Amino acid sequence: MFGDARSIPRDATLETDVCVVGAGAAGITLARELIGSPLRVTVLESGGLHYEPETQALYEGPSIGLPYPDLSVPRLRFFGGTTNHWGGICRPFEEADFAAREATPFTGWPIAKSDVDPFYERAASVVRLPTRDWSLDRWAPGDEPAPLRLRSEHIVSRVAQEVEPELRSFGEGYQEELRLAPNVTVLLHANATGVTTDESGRTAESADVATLEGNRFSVVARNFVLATGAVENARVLLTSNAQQPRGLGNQHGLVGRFFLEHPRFLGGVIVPSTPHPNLGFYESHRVDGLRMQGYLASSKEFQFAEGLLDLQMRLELGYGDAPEDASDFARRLMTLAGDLDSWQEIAIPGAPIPIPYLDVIRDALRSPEDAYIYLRGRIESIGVTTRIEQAPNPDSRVVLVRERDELGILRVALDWRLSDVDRRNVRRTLELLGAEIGAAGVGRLQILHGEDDTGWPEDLDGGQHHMGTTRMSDDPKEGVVDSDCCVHGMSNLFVAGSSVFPTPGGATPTLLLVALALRLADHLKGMMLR
Amino acid sequence: MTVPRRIRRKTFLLGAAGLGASLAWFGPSPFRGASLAGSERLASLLQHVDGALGVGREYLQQVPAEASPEVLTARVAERLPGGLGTIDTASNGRLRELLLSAVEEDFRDLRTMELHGWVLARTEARLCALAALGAT
Repeated sequence: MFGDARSIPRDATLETDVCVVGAGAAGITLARELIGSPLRVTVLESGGLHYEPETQALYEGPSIGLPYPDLSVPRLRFFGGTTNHWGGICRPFEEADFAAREATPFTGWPIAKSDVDPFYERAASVVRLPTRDWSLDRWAPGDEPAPLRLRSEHIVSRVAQEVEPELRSFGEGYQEELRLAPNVTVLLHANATGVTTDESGRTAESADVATLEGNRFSVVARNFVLATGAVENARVLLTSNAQQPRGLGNQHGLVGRFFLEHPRFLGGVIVPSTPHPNLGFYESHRVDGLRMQGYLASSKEFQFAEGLLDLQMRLELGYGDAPEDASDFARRLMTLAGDLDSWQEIAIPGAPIPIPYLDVIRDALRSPEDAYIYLRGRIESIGVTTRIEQAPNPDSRVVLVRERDELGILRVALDWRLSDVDRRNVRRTLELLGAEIGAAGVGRLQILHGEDDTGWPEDLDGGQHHMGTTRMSDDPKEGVVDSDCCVHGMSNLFVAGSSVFPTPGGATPTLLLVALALRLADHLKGMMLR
Repeated sequence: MTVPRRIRRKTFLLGAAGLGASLAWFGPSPFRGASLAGSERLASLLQHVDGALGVGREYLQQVPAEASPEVLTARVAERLPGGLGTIDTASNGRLRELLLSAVEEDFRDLRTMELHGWVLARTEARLCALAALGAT
């Protein structure tokens, strides 16, 4: 069921079994998993069902490190959270993504892929992926579009599935299910302003809630789960400092550190050998009606051999000029028609000029995409956008600042920093890509950033994948949460979401964070119902 | 995506089809008055000499020990079956095939160089260097 925090009596104390803070991908997944259980679940959602500027403003926070948008831009603060503008790209982590890299400090997970695999199956259903098959055979069954035939095993092609746009929002997709759930209450406009613990500081007792209208109350629960995203999870822990002055789980100063992203920028450009290279596999397209896109990446063997993390490369096809006007369009149609051996046979009889109608041309070509590409022009260049698995860096962090939001809570700033290993990863992988595409006859690659460059490109951006600020480790000195996502030093405070990722992997985070939320839900049920 | 101006297709037509489309046989020689038949012949294979000059000069800076037509020709010949004799005697078509094969093998075996950011096979980089020498 749904409720509104603005109508809760002031200073009331609500009781529940599990209090989930945040209704994004992780929070909604957790709540859904507990539907039908004997447990009472209360979900605290800061926003309403739709975007509200006043609530969104609570997310504002500056960037004080590498250039990054204001923190209110990448995230959304209403029911469904950031899934409301999610790109829908999914791929599971590989076994190697969980492993530590000897040459790169702070890498590796305390759990293995086998610990997550059972939940990946279920996660695929939650995010509404139609298949759990990411193999090249499944997604490139014919000759076109097909992955490049590269000769070494240094660079490989991978597949990412895309969730259909209308299915991406967890808020829209699971609102009705939660509304009908008798044991789940979603409180809208309920801002968790902190977690209050007992005197020892080891047991969370209540979540403090405030509304922008001035109402305040608390929610007492047996267990609490923070599921507000990597920036906000750190913020809640750091500002919950009544009993522990440094914040909850922060006895070793790790909360907010190790902020991770998937940094990306235009790393190189390929001049293709032919004007129409067969690279459709690397554009967003459909196979058997299902949406996917291919990309290139360094192989895991190469990464381990070179002491590097993962690196993905998206190919951005740069077409020649579009038709300038109607006559230019007609000329291109004629050109297209001229390329067809038997175009006269498909021309419309009686037409004033022998230009075949576009739909006839489309029938004659293999696919509408081919005709479209042809009409747009030749492929003149191929941008290679590199997306790095950022190496964990303790100096890359979310920090509290002096400014307070409308609720009186300290805001945070992002001090995003990259490392030399990230720079080396891009260069080394692009060097190999250049050799691969040269050997395969695809063209030649120009690396756009010099070996001696010490800065970062102007087009450096993140994938809006926030990770790492409450990293998982079995050692409290190296992580904020343990393998069960329980905050070290706390008995009943858990964290869900990609903030627990100690290493970001080469895949997008949503599928894994949903799998981990499912795993946490099972853990809570096992713990609370035995 | 905005492609930087410097990587537009025409700026580096050597890469237009690997060597396959850029080696123009019996094109105008970049050499002026030199009598080095082997190096002249190799350099003449580049159709788009202007595009090759920049990376060729960069090669000569990076590898000054090879900054002579004789050395460069010898190095290219090492990659061809039959060596220098092949450059003198092979038919145009055969020489073209052998160079393409050498370039492909360079890439496969990671015998590459980065010149002005371009990742090039050693053999094609040397051809560019020959062109640069001929233009000076």
